[in-house]
Amino acid sequence: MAARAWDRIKAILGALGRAQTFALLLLFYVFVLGPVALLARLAGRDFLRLRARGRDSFWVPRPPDEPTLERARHQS
Amino acid sequence: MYVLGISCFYHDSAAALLRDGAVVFAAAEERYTREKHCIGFPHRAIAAALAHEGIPIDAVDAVAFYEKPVLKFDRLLLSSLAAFPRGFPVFRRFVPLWFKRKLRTPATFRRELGYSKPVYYVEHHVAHAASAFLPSPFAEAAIVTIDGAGEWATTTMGVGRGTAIELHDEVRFPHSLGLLYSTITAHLGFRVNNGEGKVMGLAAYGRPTFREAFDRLITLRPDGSFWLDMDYFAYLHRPAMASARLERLLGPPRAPGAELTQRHRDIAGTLQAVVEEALLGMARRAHERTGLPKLCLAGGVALNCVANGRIVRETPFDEVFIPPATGDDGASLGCAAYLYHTLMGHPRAAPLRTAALGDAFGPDAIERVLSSRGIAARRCSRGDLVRRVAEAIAQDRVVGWFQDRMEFGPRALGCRSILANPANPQMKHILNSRVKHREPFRPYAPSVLLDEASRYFELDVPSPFMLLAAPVRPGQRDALPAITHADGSARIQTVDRETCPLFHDLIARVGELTGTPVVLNTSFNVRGEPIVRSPDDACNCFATTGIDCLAIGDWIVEKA
Repeated sequence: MAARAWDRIKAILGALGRAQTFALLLLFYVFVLGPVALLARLAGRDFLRLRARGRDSFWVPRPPDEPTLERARHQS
Repeated sequence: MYVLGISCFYHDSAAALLRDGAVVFAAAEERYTREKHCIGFPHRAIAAALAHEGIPIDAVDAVAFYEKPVLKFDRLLLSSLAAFPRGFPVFRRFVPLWFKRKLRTPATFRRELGYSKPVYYVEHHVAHAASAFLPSPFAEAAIVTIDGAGEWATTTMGVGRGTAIELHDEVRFPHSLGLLYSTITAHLGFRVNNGEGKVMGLAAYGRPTFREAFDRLITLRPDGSFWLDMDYFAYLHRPAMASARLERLLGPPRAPGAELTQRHRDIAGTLQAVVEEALLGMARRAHERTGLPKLCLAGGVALNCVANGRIVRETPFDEVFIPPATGDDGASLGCAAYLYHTLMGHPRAAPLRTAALGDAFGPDAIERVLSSRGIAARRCSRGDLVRRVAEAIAQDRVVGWFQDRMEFGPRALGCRSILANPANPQMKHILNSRVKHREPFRPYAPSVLLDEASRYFELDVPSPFMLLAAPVRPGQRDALPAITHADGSARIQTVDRETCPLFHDLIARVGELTGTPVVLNTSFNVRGEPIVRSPDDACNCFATTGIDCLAIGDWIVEKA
């Protein structure tokens, strides 16, 4: 009986947690990401080359790379 | 020195272990979990690799991971900016996932492995490039990698020299041949990251009648570069591939399992034609740019054996190397090799000539399984085993063939294979109805002795990892009906005695009995399951399907 009650409490808390995550993400998306996205659009930024259809080639040169062990330690 | 390479958290999780640069073990996690294209942390593949060498995790000197998670997260965030305000459904899915798991790989390694030494991160397409070039027999070569998406790159081109790899050009997300192929795969009612090979098989039945429509989806340049019109794709905005606009352009999507019509076949045929054109353009451009006579190919799209065959036949390259695991599973090997050879500066090891890099089971382990299951088996000498199995194949019986170490990569190459007689016109139907239960349009592949390959196929280079398709010679098509596809082609494995002695002897013996040194070779599994790994898996598959005879190690088991 107690186990079943605990399961129900966990389910309710889980649902509340998901709703909270959803709300926080939505707020971040609208009020942080949104203005940045609009400013970027006004500045003519095309991060994904969505307006690049007319180019002669779609290859993008990669900057020369000097790989090192130290740099490989980083996730970026 | 031991270096462990890991790929996981997207699809086809895998682990590869290098000892002083030589690949001593490599396996995909799906073989252990029995869940196809498994995405989770490859615990069991890592445990098997360590057990193979008899070492604890502390003996591993460095771990390499097959991508740079923060760069990928950067791409996801910028994609969200570009997709605002429609991209929330994607945003709300990836952010929690990444904060919970993908951005915490050091903690994951410590927790899951008990490993506290350095972890090194290799860019995804560099890992693909390394998986093709560093194990290749070439001192220098052009490199092309093509897949769904790495951090930003979806396609790269570059050059490998000695232990150095330089990728000089890329096509960036969301413009992706892999994602285009997956989008059409989903539109045709197959599973993304699983059904792409089926679409390639279906393409042989279609004509490229949708070319005008595809010219709206994708703008192709003669240099192989391409651009996708994202109005036709949904993956920036929601967890789906095709947009409603693509559905209006190509017609309604096919429901999974629904009847395949000529329209579906023609869509597949057009997609395949477009992808071949792009890959041929890239290969020609790589040749012009590098001037080198050798090419290394990797990335999931390099599993497209039809396009690969055309690259071999129609571009100026003298030799092409494609590793046995070209997809994300192989990137585990690639990142480990890149760390050891390129970053640490150790000379390259001997070229990779075999895909048999996974689990091995000795006679005692096999005997234990057979006796615990009460299976009556006959133990044979190797010569006797070859003779009996060859006779079974010549008599049109279907044989489960479990030998040697498990293959790394998606192809069964004579270690975990189902073998049959390719000369029997009914064999495809027999396999489909009794064993594999596959869609009837999918072809079966041949394994042929290397020295005899050009007699039966229009192929004059080795294809040891079954990654090249070539036409069956017109005069031989009637002799090999079970492996000749609708367009007269076959996906060929060439077998040489040096790397696959037992399998070579078997095919040679079949040749003595039938006059044709070719066997039908399909993966040892049933539809929807990963290829078998262990004797237990093999016995389960044997018991639940219409396989007539099981050759497992030194034992032969026959159904009454």
